[in-house]
Amino acid sequence: MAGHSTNPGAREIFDASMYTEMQTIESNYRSKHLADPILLRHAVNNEFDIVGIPSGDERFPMTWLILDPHGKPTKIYKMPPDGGLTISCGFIDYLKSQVTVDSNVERLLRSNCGK
Amino acid sequence: MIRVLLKEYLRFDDLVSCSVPKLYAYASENPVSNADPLGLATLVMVGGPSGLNVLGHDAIAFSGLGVYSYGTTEQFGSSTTAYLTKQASYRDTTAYLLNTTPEQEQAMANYLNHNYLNTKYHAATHNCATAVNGALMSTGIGTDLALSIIQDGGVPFFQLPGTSSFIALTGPNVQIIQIPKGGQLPAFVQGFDPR
Repeated sequence: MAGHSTNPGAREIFDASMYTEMQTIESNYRSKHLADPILLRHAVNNEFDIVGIPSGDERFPMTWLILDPHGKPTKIYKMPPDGGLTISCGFIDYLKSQVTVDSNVERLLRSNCGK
Repeated sequence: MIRVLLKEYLRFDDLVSCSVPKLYAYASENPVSNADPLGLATLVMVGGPSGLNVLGHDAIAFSGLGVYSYGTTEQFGSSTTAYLTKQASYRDTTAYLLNTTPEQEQAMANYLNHNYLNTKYHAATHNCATAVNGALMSTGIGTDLALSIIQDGGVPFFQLPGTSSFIALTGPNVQIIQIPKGGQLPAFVQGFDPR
């Protein structure tokens, strides 16, 4: 199935609408300089939950992640792709109590979380 | 549709043969050591086909303002170096260097922020190519080409990835740089990273 292709060129066809909405969210929150993570429900394509996590970067202060990209060709939707993640392990537990968090995304978050 | 596309290809041939833009292979020449000493440039990047994406991907960057790639993982105004590094891992890219003014570059960035954020992606009508072409045309680049097509009875058809080439070729003092798949980036690309 093309939707699960590992070819980057093929993926970008299916991912474009996801990333355009993430670009909008990133831009809208760029100047807010939030100190804490923020969860936006059904914010991407009116379906996908997304979390903004402080990145530690002054120019792009939040890193954005789709929490459960079920049925989509890319396992982890992250913007910026190399963005930092300043997050407590407790917040990940909180996220999981509120919404579905894909195992790949959880693994990424836990590899970056602190007490 | 075929007639329109054919017309564009004919136009493209006319442009190439008439305006004779210099074609650089960046490994052998570095055009940009002369091209942008004062930060006066726009970089239109036309990525070739890759896998199922037979049309490719178009993006644009401005000196000191970063890359604007609609519908990819890069946020508006992010690193052009990072963008092109990723693109070069799986496709060839043709880059068109236009000698624009800082005012034009800012106007194009503003156009993209205004018209391509908080808007819905549409594969046929609101995509990476319309973003780049719209930005260029917002400062008058390519409008003569569009008008001449209309005057000839055609319909400008700039919605497909790759058509940014046609528009970019009408830009001021355009230079062409090939960035092959797997190749290293030319050093000048850093000038298009955000300051």
